[in-house]
Amino acid sequence: MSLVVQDLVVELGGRRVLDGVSFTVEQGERFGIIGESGSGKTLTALAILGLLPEQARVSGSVRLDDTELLGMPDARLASYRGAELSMVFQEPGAALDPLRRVGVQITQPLRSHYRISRRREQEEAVALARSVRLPDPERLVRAYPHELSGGQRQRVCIAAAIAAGPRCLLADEPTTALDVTVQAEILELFRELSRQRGMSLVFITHDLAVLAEVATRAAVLSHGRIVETAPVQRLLTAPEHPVTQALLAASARTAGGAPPPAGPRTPPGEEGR
Amino acid sequence: MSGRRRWLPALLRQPAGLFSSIVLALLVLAAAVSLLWTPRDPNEADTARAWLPPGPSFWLGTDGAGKDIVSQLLAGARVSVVVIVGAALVAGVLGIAVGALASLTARWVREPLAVLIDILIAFPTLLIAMMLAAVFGGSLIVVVAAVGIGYGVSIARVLRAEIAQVAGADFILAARAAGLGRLAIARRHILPNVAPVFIVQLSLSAALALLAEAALSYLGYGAPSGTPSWGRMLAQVQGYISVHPLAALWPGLAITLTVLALNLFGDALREATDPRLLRPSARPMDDADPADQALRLGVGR
Repeated sequence: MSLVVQDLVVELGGRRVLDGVSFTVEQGERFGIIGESGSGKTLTALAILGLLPEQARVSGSVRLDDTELLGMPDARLASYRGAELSMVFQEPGAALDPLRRVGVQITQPLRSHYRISRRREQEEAVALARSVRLPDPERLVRAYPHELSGGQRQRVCIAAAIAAGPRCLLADEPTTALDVTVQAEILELFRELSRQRGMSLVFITHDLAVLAEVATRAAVLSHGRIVETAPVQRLLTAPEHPVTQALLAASARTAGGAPPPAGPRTPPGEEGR
Repeated sequence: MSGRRRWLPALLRQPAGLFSSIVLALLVLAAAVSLLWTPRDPNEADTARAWLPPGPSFWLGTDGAGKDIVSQLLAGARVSVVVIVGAALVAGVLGIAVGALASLTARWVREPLAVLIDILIAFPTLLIAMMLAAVFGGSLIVVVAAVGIGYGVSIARVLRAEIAQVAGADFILAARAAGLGRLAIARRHILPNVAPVFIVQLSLSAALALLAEAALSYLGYGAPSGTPSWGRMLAQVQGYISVHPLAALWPGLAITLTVLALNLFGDALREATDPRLLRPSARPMDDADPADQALRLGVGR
């Protein structure tokens, strides 16, 4: 499988928010997209899945192997979402329906793509919960999202994203809302899942340190344009573009001094309300 | 994960839920019993026994025409149940359908619809009911239709904003990213999440519908004569209220209790069906999560 994005242009409200974004992600590759906030990282992911707001105007090409996804009718595209391509969001508290049990949400993509018995679905939920290393999976699948910690919720989101066996997983700042210790575990989980399942990963972040943990190659996005694409090792040691150099400098500052920012965090129990 | 939340015990555990459930059950029971039996014929008038005080043969006394008050209250419960259920059904179906159409469809459908809702809301419901009654004659169907449509439109407006808000939530985007179709998302994610607001609005509308029926019957536009209704009972005794306050107290009390019960029932049902309110403390602790460690040590909150 390869995901090929070519000359992707997105206009929102007359403004060009993505301007000719192109990159290729090979089968099983862990690819990063890095950029400061507002650079168009999330929009790129949403555009690939066809989830941009209805007033957005999109052109260019997004191909999964030989299938063109851009301009595909929404109903047909829905059969790719979750099954071929899926996504993990930044705020695990907000990405889970507060009224549905965790297990049902994990197996959601399975239900929307395959006919599956209730019994089988419950077994799958437990197995998936175990594969993302949720503690006490049998009990946890019966819990509601508000009963879980932030890290556990993100594991639930990841379990749901891989449930239907997608070939490519998009992760949009999945560790930004988490504490540092949990962050490291989640990054490890992403690496492991990608390796085990031969699943490509498109990992979006603003943090070079995080990028170095999870991706082998990355594109640097700035103001809707890709300014540099290179192996992560080279971005870290010999950044060419000023934007990359600035990101590297920022990352060095936080790594050296005070504890790194854990991102916006709401008090426990308040998330997703 | 297949298990249903047990909302009925949760409903009855709350004092308001228990109280309102009992009142509403009694109302339905009274309506059912009155179909088979009332102490006397509720329409049997006899001026010789007008304004009798409560006693062994007329438990709550009689009104100015000599009609038995208990029998009229029981028979009047039928009208109340029909109006509450009918108006809630019409208002609920209309509210959900129009509210969803006005928020989830393409822009050229939802925006004119939103304006139409605002225009319709400007018409006073009671006035529409009186106009309809003047044209078609006073009947329960007219009351139920007019009140149901009137409150259905206001439910639609509340739901429109509520649905639009839920539809913008991250978990809806996540559900779409998981490959769910729009209809499935509306059914599985959006409707359950607006249900709390819907339940409260619906119970409020049912209560208002009962009041509207009472008002319309009081004005002579409601249930046809010969059909006992609490509003009509009030209308008939109003001239004598300073002399025979008890005769006005009973139907007034029945209306007040029922309206109060409906309002409380909506709130209690909302609380009973929200898992976040049902099991707030069952959250498992995560040792790796510093926030939980802080919580355990009593820091931060």
